[in-house]
Amino acid sequence: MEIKGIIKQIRNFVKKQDQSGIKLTLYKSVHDFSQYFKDLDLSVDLDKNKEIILQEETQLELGGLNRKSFSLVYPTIELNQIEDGKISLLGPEIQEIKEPSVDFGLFLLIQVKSLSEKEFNNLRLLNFISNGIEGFLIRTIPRKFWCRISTDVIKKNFSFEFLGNAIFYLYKQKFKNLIESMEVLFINSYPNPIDEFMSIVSEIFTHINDQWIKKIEEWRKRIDCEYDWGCEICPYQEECYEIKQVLIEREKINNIPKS
Amino acid sequence: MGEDIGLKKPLIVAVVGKGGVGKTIITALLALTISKNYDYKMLLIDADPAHPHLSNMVKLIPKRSLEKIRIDVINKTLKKEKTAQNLAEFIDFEVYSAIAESKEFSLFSLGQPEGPGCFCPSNTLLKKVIESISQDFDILLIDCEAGLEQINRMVIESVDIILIITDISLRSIDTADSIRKSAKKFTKYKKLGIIINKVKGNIDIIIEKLSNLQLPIIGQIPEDPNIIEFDLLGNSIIDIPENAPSKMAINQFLKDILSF
Repeated sequence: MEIKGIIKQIRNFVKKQDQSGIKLTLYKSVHDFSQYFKDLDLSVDLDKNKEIILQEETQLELGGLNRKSFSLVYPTIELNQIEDGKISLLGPEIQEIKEPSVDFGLFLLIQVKSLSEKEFNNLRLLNFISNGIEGFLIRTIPRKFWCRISTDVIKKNFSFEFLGNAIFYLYKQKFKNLIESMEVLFINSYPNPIDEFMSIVSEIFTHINDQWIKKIEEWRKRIDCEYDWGCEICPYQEECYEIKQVLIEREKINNIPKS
Repeated sequence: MGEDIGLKKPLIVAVVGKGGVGKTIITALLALTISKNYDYKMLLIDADPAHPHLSNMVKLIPKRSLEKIRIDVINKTLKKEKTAQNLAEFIDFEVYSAIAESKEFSLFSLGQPEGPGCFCPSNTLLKKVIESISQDFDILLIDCEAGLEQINRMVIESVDIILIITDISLRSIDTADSIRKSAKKFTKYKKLGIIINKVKGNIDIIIEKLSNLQLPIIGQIPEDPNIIEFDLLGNSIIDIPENAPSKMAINQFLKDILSF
């Protein structure tokens, strides 16, 4: 897989969206995170903001059940073209959004010094940021995205600029000495660009290697059966086959093979 | 902010025992005490297939049960209403939507098995979803009316702590011994202990029997007039006062349960 080529396509995609009239805002991460969070009066710290945000406390949901969404964290050692600290936003800022929920996509690119399989998998698990940001709750859904932002923090000017900075800060806190540089892209409110983006990064999602094929085979074997009459005469054969397909599809979604 | 005692996350705690010993009430009291003392995200699982007692006790009623989702997925799959890929993309949303939430904890219920059909692949599917969702929580507390085998098959493969509730009857101790055997067979638990409920008078004979069976006692909960009143009037367990003997007892040994 040619990740450099994909990054180039993503940059062209962002440029094209901007030219087509979709609002593009570019931010740069702050130097002094603590002071920035203090000025906004928004708390950001690892595991210090564990809270359940109830529906009635929510002003905005990003992604979710009836919305298009994706989240993709891609850690790599290959890149040297990451623009460290860049936060790109396609779509309106949070304060401008009037709907209770919007389509949403998040692409986080992380350049690391070393990358074992364990580190790769840990870096991909974005949901830890949920416990680190005040008024922000992520629900873990493989590859899709669903989060709630509370009315209280939106009143305090919670923005995508803030969210990008909070993500960088929390990642650097959690993965000290591992991260070289980070860049994030948010897309919201526009379903078509989200689809287009998904097709660009589909190579990342669907890249199949030997390890993955082996995993699917292991999966087929792992589905327990409580009946001992054998598959040939099993009355649930069709149901079993169909649901196994759902299972396998979900496992595919859950796995992004290492490049 | 509550205390953090450095849990393995998510810590999966199953509450089991003979019918009528007070499993559900103790699960509810544990949930309330944990949420009061610790800053943990907690998911309660009401695994009573017949009656959602735990949901009623903590006043959190999910809109759908896991069983309803299972039936829905099977129907949609067989009727080809949605593709396997489409269902796979949305099954996690469906399960998450079936979780009722409060500031203290979240809850979903297993529900009553409905209709014919094969449970094997659909249970495996839902188990995978629950395992994924459980990553968002620090503690999973399961009220296991259904029994450990069923929990293992339908909810989650690994359980860290098994709390066996007994009362002061010898029959409940015999059941505890059977549960331990079942736990060894179906789970890879790290800690198992007994909570003796409804304690009154001299229970030396019970303690001796548990000792002979090498079943470790984690704590004792005295017979509590508040609980008796709760059962009688159907009041909410949330309203049981902090100085109720049952709550105070749980407060004393809660840390022993959570740390291992």
